[in-house]
Amino acid sequence: MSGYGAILIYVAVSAVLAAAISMASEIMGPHAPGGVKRESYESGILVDRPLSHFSVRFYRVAMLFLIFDVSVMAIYPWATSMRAFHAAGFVKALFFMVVLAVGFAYVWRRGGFKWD
Amino acid sequence: MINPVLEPELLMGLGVLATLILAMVVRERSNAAYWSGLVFAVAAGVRSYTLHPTSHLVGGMMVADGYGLVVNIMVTAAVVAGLLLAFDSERYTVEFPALLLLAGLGGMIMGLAANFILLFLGLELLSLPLYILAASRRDARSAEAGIKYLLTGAFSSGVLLFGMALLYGSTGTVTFINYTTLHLVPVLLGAGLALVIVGLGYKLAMVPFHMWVPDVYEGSPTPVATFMAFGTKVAAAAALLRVLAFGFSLTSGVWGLALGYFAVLTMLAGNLMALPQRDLKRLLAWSGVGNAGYVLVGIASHTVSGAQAALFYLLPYGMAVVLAFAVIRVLEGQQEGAQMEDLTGLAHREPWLAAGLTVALLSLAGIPLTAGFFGKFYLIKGALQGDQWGMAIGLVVATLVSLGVYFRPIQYMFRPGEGRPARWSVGAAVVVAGAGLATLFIGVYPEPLLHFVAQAATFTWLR
Repeated sequence: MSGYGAILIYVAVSAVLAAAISMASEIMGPHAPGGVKRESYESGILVDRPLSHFSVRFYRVAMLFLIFDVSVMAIYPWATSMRAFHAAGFVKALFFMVVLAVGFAYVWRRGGFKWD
Repeated sequence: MINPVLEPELLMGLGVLATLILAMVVRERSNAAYWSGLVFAVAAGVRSYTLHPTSHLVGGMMVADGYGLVVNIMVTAAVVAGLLLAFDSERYTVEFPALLLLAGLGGMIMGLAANFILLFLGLELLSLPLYILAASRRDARSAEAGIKYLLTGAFSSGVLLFGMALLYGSTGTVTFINYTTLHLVPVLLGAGLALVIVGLGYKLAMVPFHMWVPDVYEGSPTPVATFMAFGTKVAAAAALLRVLAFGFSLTSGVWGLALGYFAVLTMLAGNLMALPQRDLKRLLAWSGVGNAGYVLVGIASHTVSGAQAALFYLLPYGMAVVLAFAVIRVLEGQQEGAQMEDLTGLAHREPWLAAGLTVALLSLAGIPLTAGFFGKFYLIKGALQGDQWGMAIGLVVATLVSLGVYFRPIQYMFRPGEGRPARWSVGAAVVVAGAGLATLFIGVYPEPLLHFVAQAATFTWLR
């Protein structure tokens, strides 16, 4: 039990929370079936007309999201064993984040996050 | 905290950050990012030269020995040449220096890598910025170059990675420095080595994996093509020599013969295909293929003098090709690319430019009193010391063919008539003067440089 007990409690709490929120919205929310709700939804892209054009800006946003998301993932292995690396490891991780921040600032300043 | 032997790489990385920060704070059309990129690249090259080489592994992944440092110096020289040629031009974006420095950093890492994972990371760091740079001119030709380079390059990376995986299966380690002491699984070893040679041979432009070279060089902006012709080739050749001569020196029976055939094929095909070219960038691209074959002779001969000659040859070749691209850069002006006819009358209109191109072509042909002569001389010596008569004869035949390639532009320069007017820039003038004088100097007095490079490429376990 010992180490896994926390995970079990975590799973139970998240299940109860998810169920409670969905039930609350079911009971308290307004009901208006039909209309656009019956159409499939895929990240804002209209899937009912696959031959139509849509903005290439979707790809830019998706690409930027992926780049920073994947880079941030690289921090997790370090974070799990942060104490084993001492101060030197912390400085190195900080340098990694500085590099990421420069990249982020660059994208921002060059208008990478602007839609228009 | 940071190992001092990594300082050149650190300088290059800081240069990338500095140029990126400058690219976002200064206005468009500012030269600040170029200047900072130039300063950091020169600093990285100088630090590589002043650094005391050691054969200790850093983190089990890289080794900053003399060999790696010589590669560092050559790659930084290629970055500096690319930056100088792109200076004062309104067509290149402010990201240009950051991307070029990033590609240079990848090439430097490839030279130091003692580990397949780091080697692959270096190769990708070298390739990914180049895919963007190849397409950075934003016209149809440049886009074609970028997409061709990207698709074939990604495929070759996959092949290389598969080869590395097979070698890992055969040896049980990704650190290829101490393979010689390990028990090897022969079948996996042969297949893995073949795929690694294919993957690195693609970057080196080894026939039959060279098809991308003319199109990509022609479509890319000239400063980018300059870096590709020198920097990429140095990094790929250095990595190939490191993997084969360091890692698999005891199993040379597996790769020596195959690489020898590839070398002869590459030399002959590159020089023969260069003969009918009328576009100067395509001509240099095919000449680059042929020169990759010469370097392969040194690697495949598997002798100490062969390895030294392969590393040494990269320098005369690089200086000559940088010089030739600088001349194209001066000739092309705003419109990219130069044809053979544009050279007409150049000897009378622009004697210094014509002299520069003549020196470059003579050096590529291997005429005495230029650096290329000594490069080829030591390659033949290395091949003969390894009793590789076939490769030595192939090299001589390919050189004879290449005379026809390199004398034709010289002939055009002395024809009467009006070609395209020259547009000098300070950066291009510096490159023409520097590379031209260095080519002549090494051609007359090669001893110190040869000694320096030979020290770096002395692998004592070679026979």
